[in-house]
Amino acid sequence: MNIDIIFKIAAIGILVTVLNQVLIHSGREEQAMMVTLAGIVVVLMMVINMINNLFNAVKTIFQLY
Amino acid sequence: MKLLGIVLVIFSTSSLGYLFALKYKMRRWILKSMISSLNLFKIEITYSKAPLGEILMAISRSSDKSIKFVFSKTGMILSQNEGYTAGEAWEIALKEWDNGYLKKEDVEILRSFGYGLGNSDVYNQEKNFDLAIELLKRQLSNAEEESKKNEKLYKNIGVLAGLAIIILFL
Repeated sequence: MNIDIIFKIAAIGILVTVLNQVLIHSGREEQAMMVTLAGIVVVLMMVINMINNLFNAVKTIFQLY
Repeated sequence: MKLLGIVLVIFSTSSLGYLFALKYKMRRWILKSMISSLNLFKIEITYSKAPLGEILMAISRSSDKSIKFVFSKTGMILSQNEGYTAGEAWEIALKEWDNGYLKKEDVEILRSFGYGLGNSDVYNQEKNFDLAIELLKRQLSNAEEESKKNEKLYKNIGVLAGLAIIILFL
């Protein structure tokens, strides 16, 4: 289990926040929204495998085949 | 090796951002120096009444290097006596000068200024100048507004996009 991905997600979060602020500050709310959405999608892509693993583990533990 | 890649990515994206920001800055700068050169041009025409070719040469010497070309080229065409009118010479020079910084409307103002150049008496010439300067001033305030909005944004986005790429690929 590597802990690196947590830091990676945190860094993306910080970056998206700053970018969001910059865009809103210059009056481009739509692009700010798009950047936020893109950040969410990217992070989701990174964690979706792990979520799948988690569900499988839960299924195995409670024997729900 | 990794560090080199990081430095390269950051450098390239932030310089791209600066390049976009420079476009706005250059447009503002060109419009500003164009207005001051046209003012000088107007004074020369109404006061000294020298031939247009000479006036244009004198102005090209004193104007900023970003717009020098238009005046020197027009002056050169006119002083070669090839049969071009001042308006035609101005248009040729504008066409050759074309750089990516000015917007279409700005060039259009300069072109329509050229149509009136050198084909009426001093009083009407002055009116033509006043109109062009007035329109350019409006474009300038427009450009200032735009650059205030976009210049900083592009610089910031350049750096931040570099950081995003690095984090994604690390």
